[in-house]
Amino acid sequence: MLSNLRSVISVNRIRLHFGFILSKHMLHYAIVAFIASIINAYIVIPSILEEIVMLSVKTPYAPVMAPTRFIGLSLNLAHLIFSIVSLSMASSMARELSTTSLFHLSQPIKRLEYALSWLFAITLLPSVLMALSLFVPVASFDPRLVLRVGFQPIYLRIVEDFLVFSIFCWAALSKRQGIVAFVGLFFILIFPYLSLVLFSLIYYVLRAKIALNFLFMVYEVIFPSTAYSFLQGSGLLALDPMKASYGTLAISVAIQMLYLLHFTRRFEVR
Amino acid sequence: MLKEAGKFLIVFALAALVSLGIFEGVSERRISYYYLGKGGWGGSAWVDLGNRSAFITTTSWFNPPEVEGVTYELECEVYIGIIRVVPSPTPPNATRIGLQANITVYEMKVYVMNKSAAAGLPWSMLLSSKLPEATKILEKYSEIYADFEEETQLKYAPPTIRFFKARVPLKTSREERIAIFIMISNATTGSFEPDVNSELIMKIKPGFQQYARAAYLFLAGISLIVLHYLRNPNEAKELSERIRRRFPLLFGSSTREKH
Repeated sequence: MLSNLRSVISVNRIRLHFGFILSKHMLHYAIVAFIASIINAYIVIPSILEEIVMLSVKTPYAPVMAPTRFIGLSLNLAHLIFSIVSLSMASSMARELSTTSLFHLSQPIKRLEYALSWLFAITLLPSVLMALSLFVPVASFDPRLVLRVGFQPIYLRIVEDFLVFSIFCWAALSKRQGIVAFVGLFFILIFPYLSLVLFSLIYYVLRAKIALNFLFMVYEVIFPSTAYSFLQGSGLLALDPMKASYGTLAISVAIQMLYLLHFTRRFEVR
Repeated sequence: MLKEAGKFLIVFALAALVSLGIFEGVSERRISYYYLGKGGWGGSAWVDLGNRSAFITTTSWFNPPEVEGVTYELECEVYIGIIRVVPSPTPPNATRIGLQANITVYEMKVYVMNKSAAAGLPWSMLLSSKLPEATKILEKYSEIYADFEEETQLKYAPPTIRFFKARVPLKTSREERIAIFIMISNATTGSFEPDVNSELIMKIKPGFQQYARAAYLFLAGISLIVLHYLRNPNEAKELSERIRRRFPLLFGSSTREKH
């Protein structure tokens, strides 16, 4: 099985091409990772400390202040920053596909390897860097604090970004940077927030709660982290966020597989 | 890949160093604000000491966690409103707000005590006329105690309010603690309720170990890059030539020399 896979793709060639992409865009990644790390350190570390101090106070009643949850805010900021990087990577893939991709593919590299290395650069690396930008400053402050970070919001954010960034790969196949920018802005800024407004309008116009539940379910599957951070405690969550994330993962894997299949079999390279 | 991983490690290490520097700049954060007096969580009581009276209250049990580079202080603020309801001459049976008789505070202290020390404390003595003797025991058993100071230079405080403040640095301990507030004054027992607020203040002051950890990450990043060049000597040669070309003065050659 493994030898069959090795005959189809070469890890070394993927590594080389991925390294080539990275070296071209290293500065983008580095600046973004630096900014995100500082934001995370400044917001998340005191937030964790405040939470554990608050939990250490034993009272006969409920706590005076609910434990502060700034991790969500910090993750949202990091998501915006890394989305821009992923978007710029997808945009440069689109530019390359419309100009010099034939030159790259004339090198000893297969289409699948080429598509995979771009997939890693657009989806995997920003997600990994986002997680590291949270954990590295926290671990260098006090390694024990890493265990105090709530893993669910981070996991949901990474899963959501995995799906959104996979969609960027498809947008890059249009070979037009304008379309990539539109799709990117639509999925980062417009769709997650505008759809919530639309749902409330639908509810007030139709008063149809069943339809709304279905819409919220779909929304949660596409944006598990945004749904969790906005709708937590409102009673509007139709699904458990962790269960919704399985759907998100399945959809993102399907999108990525289709992207690889389309690129290797149907896509016309100029 | 090693080179890129090294670069990312360096970036994260630099970010960690900068964030530690930011914490140095903004070192004090106020957290965990809870009331002790009227309507508070801890109980409060007045004790009649004959010609004097004492007001006693406690905080809840608290146990700030041990975290590197973080210290805690307990800040106590006491507001005494020196107003009271007095009968008004006209119309009959009416009342008005009048100034409380001048209160003299003889003693105002906060004691911070560990749970094990508090277990051996004669609590009943605190609520009896033997309180003055009990305070000596409190002092002996307390981890730390402090006197309050009256703040007289408050800009916007109304003249009917007196304001006292004390700050107690807390030691690092794994045990739960409690703060006990005692005020001995000439006020009539139960005539008013001092508003006692306590805040736990968290101070973030990164230590050497934290900077060392970030520096270690930085060095790890550099060593990954070095490892990459050791594995790829051709690239190392190219790099050295590039550096020679870009910074000729560093290598003793003139900038006018042609390469």
